[in-house]
Amino acid sequence: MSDSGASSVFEGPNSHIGRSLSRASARRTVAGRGRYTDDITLPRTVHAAFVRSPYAHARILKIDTADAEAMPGVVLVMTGAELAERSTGPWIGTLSCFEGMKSAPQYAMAVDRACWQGEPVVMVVAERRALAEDACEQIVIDWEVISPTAEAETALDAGTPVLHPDLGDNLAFTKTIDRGTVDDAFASADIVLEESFSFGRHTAVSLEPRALLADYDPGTERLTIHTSNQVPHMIQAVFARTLGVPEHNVRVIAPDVGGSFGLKIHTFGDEVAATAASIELGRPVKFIADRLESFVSDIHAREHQISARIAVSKAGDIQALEIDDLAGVGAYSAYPRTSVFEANQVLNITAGPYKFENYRAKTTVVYLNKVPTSQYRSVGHPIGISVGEHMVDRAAETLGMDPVEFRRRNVMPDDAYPGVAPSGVPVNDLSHEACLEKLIGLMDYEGLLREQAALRKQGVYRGIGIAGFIKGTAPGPQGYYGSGGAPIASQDACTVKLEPSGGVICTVGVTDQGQGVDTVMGQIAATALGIPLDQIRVIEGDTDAVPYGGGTYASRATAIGGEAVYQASCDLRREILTMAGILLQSDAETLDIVGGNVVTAGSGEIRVPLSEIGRIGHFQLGELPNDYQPTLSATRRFRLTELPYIFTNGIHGAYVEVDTDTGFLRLLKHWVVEDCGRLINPNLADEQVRGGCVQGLGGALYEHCLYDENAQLLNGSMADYLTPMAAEMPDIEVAHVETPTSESELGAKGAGESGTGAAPGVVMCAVNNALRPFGAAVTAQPMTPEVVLRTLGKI
Amino acid sequence: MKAAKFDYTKTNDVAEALSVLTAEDGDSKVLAGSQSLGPMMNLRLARPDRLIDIRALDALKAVTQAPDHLFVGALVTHAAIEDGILPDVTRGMIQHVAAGIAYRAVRNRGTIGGSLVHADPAGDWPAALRALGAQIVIDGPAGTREAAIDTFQLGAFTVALEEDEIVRGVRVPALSGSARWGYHKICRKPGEFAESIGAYVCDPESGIARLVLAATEDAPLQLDTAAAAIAQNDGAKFDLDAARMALTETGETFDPFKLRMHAVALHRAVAQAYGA
Repeated sequence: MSDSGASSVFEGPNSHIGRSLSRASARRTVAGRGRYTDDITLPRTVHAAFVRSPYAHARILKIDTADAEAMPGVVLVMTGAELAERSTGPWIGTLSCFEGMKSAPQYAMAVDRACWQGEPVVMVVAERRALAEDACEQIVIDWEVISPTAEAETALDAGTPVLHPDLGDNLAFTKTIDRGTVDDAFASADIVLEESFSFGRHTAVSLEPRALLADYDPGTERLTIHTSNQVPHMIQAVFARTLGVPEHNVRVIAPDVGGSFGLKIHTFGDEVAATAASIELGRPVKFIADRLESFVSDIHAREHQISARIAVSKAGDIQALEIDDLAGVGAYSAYPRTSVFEANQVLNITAGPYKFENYRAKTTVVYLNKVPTSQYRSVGHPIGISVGEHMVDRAAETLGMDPVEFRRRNVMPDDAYPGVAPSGVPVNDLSHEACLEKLIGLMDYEGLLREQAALRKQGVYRGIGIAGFIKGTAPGPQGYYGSGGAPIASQDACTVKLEPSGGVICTVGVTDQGQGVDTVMGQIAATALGIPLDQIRVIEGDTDAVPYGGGTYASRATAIGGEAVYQASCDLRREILTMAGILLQSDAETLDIVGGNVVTAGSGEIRVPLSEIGRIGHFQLGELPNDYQPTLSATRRFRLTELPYIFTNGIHGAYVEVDTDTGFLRLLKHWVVEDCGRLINPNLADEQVRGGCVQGLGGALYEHCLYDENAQLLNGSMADYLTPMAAEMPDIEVAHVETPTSESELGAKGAGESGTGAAPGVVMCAVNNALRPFGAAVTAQPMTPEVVLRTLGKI
Repeated sequence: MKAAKFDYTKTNDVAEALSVLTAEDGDSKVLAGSQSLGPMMNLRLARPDRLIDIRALDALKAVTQAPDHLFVGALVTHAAIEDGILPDVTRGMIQHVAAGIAYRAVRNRGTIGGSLVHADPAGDWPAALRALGAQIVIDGPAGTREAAIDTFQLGAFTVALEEDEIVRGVRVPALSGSARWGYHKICRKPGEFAESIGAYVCDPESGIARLVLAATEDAPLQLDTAAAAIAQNDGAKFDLDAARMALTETGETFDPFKLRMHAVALHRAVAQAYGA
């Protein structure tokens, strides 16, 4: 903590920090008054639809668009080659921070070859979407099918086709972390346990699909892009550069966003194509991805296979852990964030809560003829946490130790910081011990054990799972996107302005996707300024209106954007007090702002309302000395300085029942103890945790992009792809330990993703706890009935 | 995706509906609740030239009780049955079945007649009404005819309905006070397509004992021999192995996972009927 004065601001009577306020936008969205991209219709809007490759890998021999061009309502047909001519060149999805990484040049639409089923090939723009789809059906493409590469296991084998011959092989990236003396530790270990895991591919399935409305005005040469997105400034930079429009002429507006989860931080060729069409036509072009094309064009995530081994002593100490990860990404590495962060995070965070030094982790990332994968909520964490916690449970089981006791013995102590995780990533301000003890009480662990034992006698198999974690949040500038060469800001910024009315406008670079970022920013600003919340208007999601920032990803909005808001608001407060001091002929030090009024510090006597400061500051400047020009606004930026991430920690508990006849799982109860530092809004933090858990449970139980040997997606519709919904979800009880981060005055850490990270692992631990009487363990996700029955040897 | 172009007709007259159905310019599809046809059209998997909206046909909304059966009009929604608005002649069975169909939003619009005619192998009504031994009432140019449900569904998404016919409704036999039923659907999640459906109805007074398996790749399967044995033993010997045996005896082949799902569904349906 930087100073004791700061903490008194957060805890004082003026504070809105720690209050469970409802989301500012909830009332309008619940009333159906949300304004999503597809709700915006501009005059002369036309609609884009795409012909997509039906093959996972095929050469384009000829495209005949003549019939399509003659169809009613069609205003433009554009092939991939034609789009390439209107672009500044292909993307290459590598970052210099990933040493040795390679990726092939990728155009927004396929030019001479399609590399995954669903890759856009031809765009049709028509007066209505249905007419565009009618015309798409009239486009004839001569294809020459090429053997696809569908399996990660064989992607590097000699006989496997190479996706991009110029790359030499299908290897995207490989990396090994090797710390301590791993080989010696295994050689001399009392006990060594091995296991193999597989994690299925899944995708975000946001309720609102990707959506874009591009509006190019040839008169002003301004391009306005309305898009359902988390990172307006990145979209501004990437679209401007790809389409050759000066960045300052591009305005990106993210209106209400109906779910994003990391899906909407990437560059998608169909969106770029629709924007190019707007420039070509000089009229607005709308593209709304439908559910079918979402499944084959939204980023996918998490296709990993891992083998792991752990060494433990008879006394119950972890001595070493080794993991070997194989990740199958798509046909290209996603631009500009790459497709290898996920594997990198698996290496960083596996067994992150534990104090041991011998750790080796290797990943091999290979290209496949499938939809490109990239960052999706809780990047890599579900995989690393599942693997680490399963190995910990196996070790405890083999030693005959209770899994809680084993964790008590092995977690990093709460007084051990700053320190490093086994992978070497720096960690600080964590609370594994406090979280573990709080969880045990919260879930009544002993009571569950008794109930479990009693029910087993009746043939009911229930399992109890515990899974601790570290979670990388709020990345800093070191070794990340910006330093790797991508136009993505690791800083975020805020401008606060006092208006003549005494109201405050707070503009932020971070964005709200329904999680309540605007509410949280308002709480921070109001607290720092000493004004009521209804005196503040938070504006986000418009590059014309807000200072440059990275947007919302990697659980950074509150930790990074929130600190910028806090610092800017403190500056504005100081200026208001300075001006008040001049007006009141008082020393600014003797003044304070409480409830929207300048008051005498200590006594609270009202001296002048902010509305008067605003009025004089804008309209009656003659009342001020000539050498004083108030700006009544402040802009501050914030980035991490010491750490690459603000790592957070927490722990989950799960109680499940396994139907051993059908292999079906029933989630009975889920508990979370989370340490996201200073809690700004406990209710919204809880909602983030719960929603995150549900998303993680979806991947653990249901969600799976199934491909056949020809790399054809078999279940790309909502009829065949299962997503978690309220009926099958357990109650999720959330509690907190608050250890503010030392990186900022506000002390907030990220909270948005960790539910997703740990939920799959804890349920896998619980299922395996239930299956222990059968000597069986599930190590594949999603844990489908077939997987469970096969594990039990019943099919 | 958006549906391909189609014409749309709505009528409140059965005769007019039938005449539009047989119009010679292109193929027509009947639209009732639109919970299956609508999505299929939006996926362009179904592309009829014309939709005939029958939702204004009052004759298809009737519910009438007779001593031995309940007539349920084809346009009666799953929700109406779930909510217990209809007289209960099946000791709660059809109410139970209706409540388990998809999600409430689907049940609010989806109809019993639509479900029977759509004939999805994983549909609830084809399975449940088969176990009850219902009769289908069909309107055509020559008047009204009845068909036994046992022969109505020919296969997956195929029924014995002529191009110029529509289903008016279904006669659900009334169960006696000593009848038993069980209905067990195995779904990965509530509302999903079923992995398996087992349905069992036994009425000692009428001598009916029917065991039905659905959510195969075909029309529901009726296991009469097993049903008779179950009724004779009051369900006592019908364990999981017996269910698996009964499935094997049908001559159908199932992969090991489906075989297990089907055996469990049958076993649990029977267990439910006998209160086990």
